[in-house]
Amino acid sequence: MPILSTLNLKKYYGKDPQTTVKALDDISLTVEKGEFVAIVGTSGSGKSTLLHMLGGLDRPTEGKVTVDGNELFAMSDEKLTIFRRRSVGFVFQSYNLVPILNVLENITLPIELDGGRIDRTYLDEVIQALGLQSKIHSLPSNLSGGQQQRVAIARALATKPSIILADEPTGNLDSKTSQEVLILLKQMSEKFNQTIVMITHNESIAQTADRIIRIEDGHIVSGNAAPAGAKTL
Amino acid sequence: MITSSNIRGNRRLFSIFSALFLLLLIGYTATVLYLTGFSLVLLQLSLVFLIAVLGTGALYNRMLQRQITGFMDTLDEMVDRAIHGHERLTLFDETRLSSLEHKLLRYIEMGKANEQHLAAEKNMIKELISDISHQTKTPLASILLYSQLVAETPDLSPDTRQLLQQIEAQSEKLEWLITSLIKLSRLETGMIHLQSEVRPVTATITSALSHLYTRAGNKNIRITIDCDPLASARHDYKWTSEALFNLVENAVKYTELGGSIRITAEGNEMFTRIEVADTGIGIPEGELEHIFKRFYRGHNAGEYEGIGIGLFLAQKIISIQGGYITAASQPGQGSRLTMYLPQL
Repeated sequence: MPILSTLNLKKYYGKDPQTTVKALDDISLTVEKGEFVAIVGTSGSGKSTLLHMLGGLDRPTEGKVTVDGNELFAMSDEKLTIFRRRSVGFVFQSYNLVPILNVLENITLPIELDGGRIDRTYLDEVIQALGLQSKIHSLPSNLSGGQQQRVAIARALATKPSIILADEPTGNLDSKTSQEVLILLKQMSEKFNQTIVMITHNESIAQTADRIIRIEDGHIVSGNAAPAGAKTL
Repeated sequence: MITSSNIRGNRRLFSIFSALFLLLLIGYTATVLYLTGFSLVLLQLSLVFLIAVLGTGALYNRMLQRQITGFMDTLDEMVDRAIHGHERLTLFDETRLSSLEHKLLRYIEMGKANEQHLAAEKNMIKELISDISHQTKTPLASILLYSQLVAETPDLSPDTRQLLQQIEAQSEKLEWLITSLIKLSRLETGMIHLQSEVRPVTATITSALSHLYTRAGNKNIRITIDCDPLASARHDYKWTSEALFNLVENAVKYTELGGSIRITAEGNEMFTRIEVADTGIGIPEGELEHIFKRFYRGHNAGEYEGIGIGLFLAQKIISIQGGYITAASQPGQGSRLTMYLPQL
């Protein structure tokens, strides 16, 4: 069963049929557990809108999004918020770390918000895999961009979410560091069987992913079929 | 079955019940006052009664809540103990809690039994692998030896000589295949422990190249190395060198006469990058994602020697060490395989 799927997802802006902007028009896609998928499109193609729908940040005009068997927009706002906190990890272009908390506190923040218990062994494994052992007591402002993004990835992984959504995760990084962050995302996806959906406008960045979904003017142009035996590697 | 909607229903029921209770009390007091005529003493008495009843109710509610919280804490403690294999919280009491704990323990034991079963199976596979590796070595060596012996006999017809060469070549291929497969299985089942330590990558690169200079020379391929002498990474010298050997060997294989191969190494934030760029035939875009798969061979690769295991083995060796290999290519112009090794 796919971990993430959308069915005829539509997002229209404006009521007047003459001037309606169709940001998303009839998007149906599926992502299998453990897949690392890149959604590629130029700016204005609707990829950010799509990501917001996948993460339950914005409601669609029509259509369904199902994450791990839960239909997102059948939930009340309150439930959706809790669902997001527990089941969706976000990685943003601008890292969005809390400046007054140190690295470790930033990583454990979503667990503590949820009142959950911290799985120390798992957390250590994540920190180690992302090469953050020596930085856990540093403040975000003392870290480089690449390091900050690694902290953000660790934070997204900490709650063992059903899916991780990455919005232009390398947008603020130089090309060498971008490549490193991508390799880490790929490694995390393999190591923890973590499903990751990343959006980007950069073709070469998307190449690291298992599958590329191309989107133009609110439509999927290619890539919406998991290749047979994609996970046999 | 208890669901969250059930709990919410209970909460609503509770508030309706409390409202009804309050209404009843106020109504009762009002009725008493109405029937007996208004008197200050009676009003005061009624008020005291009202407050006393409400207080008792609140106290009861509080106690109930505390009991529930206590119960949840006990459950939490119970699950924790079960997970960490500490002694039971309840001994065999005639309570539902005790029966729950028993069920929980049984569930965890079942998981553990499965784990042991898997470990036993893995051990069997390990034994099988070492058996295969031992038992095939001798016959294969004999085939090679005997075909060489036959080849040494004088006055053989050219046809026989050619057939013998074929036998030798195929046996050597088989030997390489078996050794590679055994290496792979050992890596996959964790039979081999890599001796990873932080060390400069220059020595590793040199070691990988030492066996390839002749072959590159035969094809008149120029190899240039541009390596930051300070670049170091956490890696196993022998295995990483082998992985790198596979990358460079591929580059030599798929580069035409007179081409060139450029090897660069430099450190960045987290990984040290070793790049092998050639001016060979390149890899078509559709095949890039497959080249690290076991036994995959590109459509253009048919005319070259090989079995399609080198890159797979290399990727395995590097990812076990926390690294990764990526590939990029411009068909017809060359390929670029990049190995990322962790620095820490």
